[in-house]
Amino acid sequence: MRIFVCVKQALDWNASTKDFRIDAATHKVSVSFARYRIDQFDEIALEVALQCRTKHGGQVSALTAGPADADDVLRHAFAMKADQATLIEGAGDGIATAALLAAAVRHYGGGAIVLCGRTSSDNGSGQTGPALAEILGLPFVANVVQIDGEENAWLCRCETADGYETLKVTTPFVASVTNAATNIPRVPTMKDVMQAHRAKLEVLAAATLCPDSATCTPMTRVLRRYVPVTARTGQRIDGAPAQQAKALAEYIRQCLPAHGES
Amino acid sequence: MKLLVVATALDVGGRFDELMNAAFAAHAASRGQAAEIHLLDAEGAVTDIAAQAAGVQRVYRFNPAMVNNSDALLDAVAQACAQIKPSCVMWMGDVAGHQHAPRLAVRAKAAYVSGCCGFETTASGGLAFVRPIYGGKALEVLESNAAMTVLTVKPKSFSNQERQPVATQTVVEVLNVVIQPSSAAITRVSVDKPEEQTGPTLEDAQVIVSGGRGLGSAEGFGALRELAAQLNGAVGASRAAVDAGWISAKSQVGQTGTTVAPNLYIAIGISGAVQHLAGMSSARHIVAINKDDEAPIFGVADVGVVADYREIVPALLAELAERSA
Ligand SMILES: Cc1cc2nc3c(=O)[nH]c(=O)nc-3n(C[C@H](O)[C@H](O)[C@H](O)COP(=O)(O)OP(=O)(O)OC[C@H]3O[C@@H](n4cnc5c(N)ncnc54)[C@H](O)[C@@H]3O)c2cc1C
Repeated sequence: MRIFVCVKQALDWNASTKDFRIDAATHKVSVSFARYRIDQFDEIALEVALQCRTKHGGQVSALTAGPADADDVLRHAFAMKADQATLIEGAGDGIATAALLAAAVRHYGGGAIVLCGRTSSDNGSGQTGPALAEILGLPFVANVVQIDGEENAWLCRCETADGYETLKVTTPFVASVTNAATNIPRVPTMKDVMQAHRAKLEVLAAATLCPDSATCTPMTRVLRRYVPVTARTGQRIDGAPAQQAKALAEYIRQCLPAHGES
Repeated sequence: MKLLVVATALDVGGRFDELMNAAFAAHAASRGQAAEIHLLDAEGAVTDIAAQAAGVQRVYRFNPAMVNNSDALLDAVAQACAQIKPSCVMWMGDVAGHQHAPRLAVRAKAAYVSGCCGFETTASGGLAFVRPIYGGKALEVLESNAAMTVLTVKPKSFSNQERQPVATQTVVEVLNVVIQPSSAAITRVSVDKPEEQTGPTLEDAQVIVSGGRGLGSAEGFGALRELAAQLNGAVGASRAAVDAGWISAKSQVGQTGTTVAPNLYIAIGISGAVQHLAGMSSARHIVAINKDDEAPIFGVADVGVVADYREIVPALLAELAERSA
């Protein structure tokens, strides 16, 4: 059984981005000390795949579509102990990226399970999973936190709007993964990180995977990207707790429409 | 040019209004090019009176009427789009909408815009889509070069908009669709639902009192519930508080929880991690109570109080009770 995990390189979500700016001409983010890494939900998807492999065997493959320097996310996948990794060089955007990933899955003869993160921390569209399922013609399961095997079927524990549910699914299927206490990504050992540096990646060219398919062409164009100006006053209320409470109550009362008029 | 709003069983009341506000905002931004607003009442949840009052020109319903099966829903909507040929299809950006809309876009060879929070007019007079990126730290404006664009509406982005009532005669049309029997590749085995809660829901509340890991225990939420009740609001939480088991997942605000935009958001014992901010930073007024004066939550707050919540919240309750008496 082969599990494909689609991972992407993104600006480190947890890094301090106090000076977060966007270049008006290139539409790219510029922050000092920018750190790029495997995106948060994609790393969690890898963890879910690796846990599934531990219980049921199989092979975990990491796939990324991006520039040549996106290979570091694949090295990270190797360090977490993925079995194989492929870089699809040259990415589209949105659905076009999903089309490339789908073409790569097909290139390898298909997978039993194809996983990806719930949403990316940069673009934040959450479209890769559903689009992959549609392109591959497979069922889609959203917000999975754990996958367990059962005879001829898989049990996916999924986060819902107000709790969890368990769905029984037959392979092949596509799923998006979300975070839970049970799937916090493992931290690779130093030795595994070193070994991952020497591991061999496979490289596929986007042009050969998707020679002229319409789905591989982006259908939206970015006109502008900007950081909105927020007009928060950031006013501090100081003093002893009793004074603070008084001033705060005053502010809260002002915010409430019923009291605002009086 | 036609705008097609897809309404599901959940899109009633405030959610229906949000969708219609979004449709009329798109209509205004396209400078009247999108002359018609149509509604696909996919699960028979919208009455003709509501559609007429909202200014919908045409309402479509399915024959056969929909069954409760999400694959069938997607299938039927895709067939409807092929018949209606709208230039823009709008779907509410909830968990289900975010599953269906990208699939619909692929099937219809349409462009996809996720979590649309506004519309603009391009230099050439076309429709442009505004959406948040980087968890709301920035916005992007997109143009579509496809004949059809499928979009999801970011919850709460259009809830406070004014809409001019339009006088229309609503036409009702029944669309014949062919629904394939379900392949049953997915079956539901079990559901863990949290206990019911009283008071307004997070989505509807005008005031949200939210607690985080800083509360230290489930009991810590007691005072917050009192405060919420006092202000006729709902109780929210950070993921850390939910993961600790202090409060149900339904209360979680943020990237992986509910997106809220109340009139007043009070964050108590919440540090202000980016994933939390992604779900609440567009609240109208934000108050932060935290004992660490360097907590990032102060960076998005209108008013900040550096204090131990165990001192300030009881004092605040007393203060509010006194004035309202
Ligand atoms: C993939 C992913 C998705 C996530 N999605 C979400 C999400 O949707 N929503 C979300 O909220 N988080 C989410 N998180 C978690 C997020 O990163 C933070 O871990 C979380 O928001 C922290 O919660 P917190 O602020 O309550 O806790 P902490 O960060 O631990 O902050 C506690 C705060 O309480 C203050 N405090 C302590 N004692 C007191 C006291 N007595 N009085 C006053 N203040 C006190 C402290 O100073 C501190 O600032 C996600 C994380 C990941 C990795």
